[in-house]
Amino acid sequence: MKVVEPSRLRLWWVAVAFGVLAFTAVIAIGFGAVAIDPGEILRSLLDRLPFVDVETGLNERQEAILWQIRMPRIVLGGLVGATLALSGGAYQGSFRNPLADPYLLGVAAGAGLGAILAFAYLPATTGWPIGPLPLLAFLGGLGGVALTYLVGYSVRAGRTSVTLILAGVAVAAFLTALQTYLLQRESETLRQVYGWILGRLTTVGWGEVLLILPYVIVAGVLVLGARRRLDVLSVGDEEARALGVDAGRVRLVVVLAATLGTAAVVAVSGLIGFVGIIVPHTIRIVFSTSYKVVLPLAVIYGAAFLIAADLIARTVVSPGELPIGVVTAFFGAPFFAFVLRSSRGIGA
Amino acid sequence: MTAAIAFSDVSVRLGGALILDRLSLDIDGGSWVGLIGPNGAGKTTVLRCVGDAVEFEGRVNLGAKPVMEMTAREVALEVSLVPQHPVLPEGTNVVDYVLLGRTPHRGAMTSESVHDLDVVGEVMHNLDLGDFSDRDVASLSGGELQRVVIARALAQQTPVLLLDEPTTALDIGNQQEVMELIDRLRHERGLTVLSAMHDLTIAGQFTDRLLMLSEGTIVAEGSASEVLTPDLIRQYYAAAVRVEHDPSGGVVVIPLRRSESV
Repeated sequence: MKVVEPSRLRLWWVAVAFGVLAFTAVIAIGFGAVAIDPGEILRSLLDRLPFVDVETGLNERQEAILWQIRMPRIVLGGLVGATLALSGGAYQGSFRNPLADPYLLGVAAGAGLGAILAFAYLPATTGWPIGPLPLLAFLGGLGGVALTYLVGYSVRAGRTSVTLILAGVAVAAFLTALQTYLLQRESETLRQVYGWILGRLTTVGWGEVLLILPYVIVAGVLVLGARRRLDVLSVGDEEARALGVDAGRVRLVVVLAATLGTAAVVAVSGLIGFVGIIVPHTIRIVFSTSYKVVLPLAVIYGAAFLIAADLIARTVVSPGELPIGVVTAFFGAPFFAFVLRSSRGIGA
Repeated sequence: MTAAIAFSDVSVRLGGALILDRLSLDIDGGSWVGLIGPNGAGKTTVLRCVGDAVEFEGRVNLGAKPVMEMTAREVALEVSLVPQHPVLPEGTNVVDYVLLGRTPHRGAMTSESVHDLDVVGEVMHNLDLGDFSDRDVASLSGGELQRVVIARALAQQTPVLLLDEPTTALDIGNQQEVMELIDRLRHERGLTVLSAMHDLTIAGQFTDRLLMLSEGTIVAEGSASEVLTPDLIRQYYAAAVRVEHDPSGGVVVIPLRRSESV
């Protein structure tokens, strides 16, 4: 009798993925107005470990650039990329829709509206522990998805996984209309908001990283924990039920978790599109379509992808800087068209 | 003895329409019962009630337990389903697909055990699917696919097997093969089988008992020769047929052209 070999995450796939991530990170840290040698970066990293003392050739200024400017930005980019890629995979699995993405569910539009409200009506500096911008963007993102849920689930007859996506499109259009209205009224804030809408990874020390870390961890644990259930959902709600899985409940947990993570990263990084499409789909093509493989690898390659995109964003028009959302859209939009062409049907 | 499946006064309403109307039935353990009846009679809805996949009034029991009081996982340990139009996830190979049948046997967070893989290997061997392991389920032919979907249901190792139109999409050779396979498996494993069927002759050949449904109620039940009569078929299918009794005990339903009808 032939031994059966199911799809599973191979250890060496994970090892290679971490290798790619480490390589990308070291290159990206080294690049900039002040070049830092990769060997010195590694020595400085080692030196920071407890009980390890390594001589680095870096002077105080280079150390400061490395630890207060470059590292936070790379780590933030990694967290944002990992979360967007994981959320994209999670939405695709929940809705059995290859095109599902944080942007289809009203998350981004809601967060954008929150950000514009913050720019237009709140003072830039407050005594709050969290800036008003991330907070309102976060609330707006959650509000956007909640509205999508309400509209999608108010449909009674003929409700399918596509219904929610269509509801998301309607909600996004409505929220975008509100955004445009506010922008016209408060035109002096337009420039600032424009920068945020296109996405950017600017950091002030480690504040942004620490701000989003708890949400990213919670979202990651919940979504990764549901990876086997998402494979069961791939045969549709009715068959999933016949296999003992309540698809509605799995979907609710996964979508809420992915939205929590997305809203948190959108709040600090602005609107960076297409990561949630490019990364999971590339993994499906190269490795496996099982979520046991797609989701863990999406975390690692998502981080590497966004760090690389950020490197391109801050080098191609140096000393200026492109919004990172422009870079991801440049690669992502053609890829989206490719996925659209090759998918057999949406949520069929 | 308690029936393996028992309905008492089961009604189902969907969008205002009454799909099942106070239906009661008992299905003995180890028997194969065929549900026949015209399109829209409620055959699939009966199967969905057994799997607790639709809201109903009344009582559906699996053995002594009412399905309404069971969790989805508990039901999935008792009942497996071969759907009429299975959803085929693109890029999923046959092994991963059959392995989905083991889902109710393990927790949400645990990966497949050696035992799960043994069960899948055994089922695939039994159904002659050994060479298909790496094939994408979306690339299989009708007959191959039906065997793979049956394999997933068998990997679930439930005492009750539900089949929704198991032969509709198949050519005559594959129809026979699938029905013989189900017959062999139910004897080997002592399964209770409930199947919705369109082909009356095949339904009569393989099942122990037929239930004819029309507009959500049972209008006839019994052996093939009791249920497959020209009168009942004319009345409920609006079809003109002749019925031949085969010397081997089978009942053959032959459709007539209008000009021939008596």
